[in-house]
Amino acid sequence: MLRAAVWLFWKDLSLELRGRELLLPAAIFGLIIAMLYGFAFDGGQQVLRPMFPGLLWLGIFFSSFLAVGRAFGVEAEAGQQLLMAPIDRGAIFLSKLALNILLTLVLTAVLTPAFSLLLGVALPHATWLFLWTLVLGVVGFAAAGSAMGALTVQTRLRELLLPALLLPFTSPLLLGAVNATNALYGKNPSQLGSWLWLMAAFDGIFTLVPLLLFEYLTEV
Amino acid sequence: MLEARDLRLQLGDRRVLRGVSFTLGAGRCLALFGANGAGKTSLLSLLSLQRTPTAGSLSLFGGEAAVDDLALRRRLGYLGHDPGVFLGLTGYENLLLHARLYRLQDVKERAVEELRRVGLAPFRHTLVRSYSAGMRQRLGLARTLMHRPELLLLDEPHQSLDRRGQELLDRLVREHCAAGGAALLATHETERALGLATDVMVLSRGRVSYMAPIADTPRATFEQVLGEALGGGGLC
Repeated sequence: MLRAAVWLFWKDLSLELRGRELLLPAAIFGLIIAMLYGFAFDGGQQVLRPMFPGLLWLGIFFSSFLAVGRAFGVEAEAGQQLLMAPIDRGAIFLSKLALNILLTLVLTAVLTPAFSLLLGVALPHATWLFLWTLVLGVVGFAAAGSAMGALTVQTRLRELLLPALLLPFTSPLLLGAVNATNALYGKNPSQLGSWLWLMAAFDGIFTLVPLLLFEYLTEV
Repeated sequence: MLEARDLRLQLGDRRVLRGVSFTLGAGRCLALFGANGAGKTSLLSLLSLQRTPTAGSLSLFGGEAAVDDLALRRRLGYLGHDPGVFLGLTGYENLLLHARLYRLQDVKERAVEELRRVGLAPFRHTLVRSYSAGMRQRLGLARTLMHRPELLLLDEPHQSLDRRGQELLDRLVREHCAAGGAALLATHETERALGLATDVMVLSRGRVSYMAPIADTPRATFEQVLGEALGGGGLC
């Protein structure tokens, strides 16, 4: 399964590097959100710091949604052939998950400093814990996006169905990510571990369950 | 090679296939006719193991077929309405990916050889997005044949092909069947299919309304059966 996943990931990466159809619009959208937040909230570091984790994670989620939500779109071209190939269909999910993690990581790497700069709020001092929080959030969102993308790729109301499924499903992850980041800014720091565990559990569930059920998901 | 027994498929509240039974032996080429919505594509989706039938059973190469049987999938070649190629890759890269997923040997040489066979060698490093519809269909044909499947399942394969492309397709299907393979061809190209196939089957409202070797089918009988099927055997 891993070998097939690697070849499919190569295919997805080649398509994205040539077309830049996923990352570029999502990054531009995220930067526009950051700029608009910068114009809309003019209160200085003291006022904005309590809101910063929420604004940052919403910005990451919404812009990543543009990339993750469309990542399965390419399979509408030739996805039927992939379903016919003598490979474990979990490989298709794994390759898409890897692509979505990569896209969301790049977006997060661009948007996090941009939000910090435009809102004038310094990033948390606990750099490694903050990076760990970002990674958990990115992996969870990419995993949920890959699962929901697979579920909705063949549906006619995909553009409507995907956000309707993905955003509510990722609300526990958003809650965990915002509260963990708040904890890193000193608000209820003792709860940091619990929020990180919640995010890790979300990541595990949304990676393993779709992987196991992917054969069935593609038949629905 | 293929034995379908009372295949049924229900999608939502719509009964798409209502008990389809037939057999297809090695060396045979079956032309499948039917009106739009008669169930041709749905039948092919079952035979190509993309879906599980609601009821009935399917035997392929002497064993019961299951959707998750990877060894069986390797022995099938499917070309659908859509050529099933990635537009953002070159023709060569498309075949390379296919060869790797099917774990073929000498993938690069095979990819070039297949492109040459369908007349696309000069365009191998061109993005498929720039191909015409006929060129994409040729590439889809190369992909379908590349892993040397024993059973070919073709859904309106002549679509988009020019006359030379159609002749190429016919020749490759004939060679495949002559080499002991079997083919099932769903089509609306009546004359071309009759010149190619050894057997004919007509599907009407999810049921087989006629099936016989072409040699045993008088032209008048066939035209009458087909006329009835196309007249009211599809979407209702």
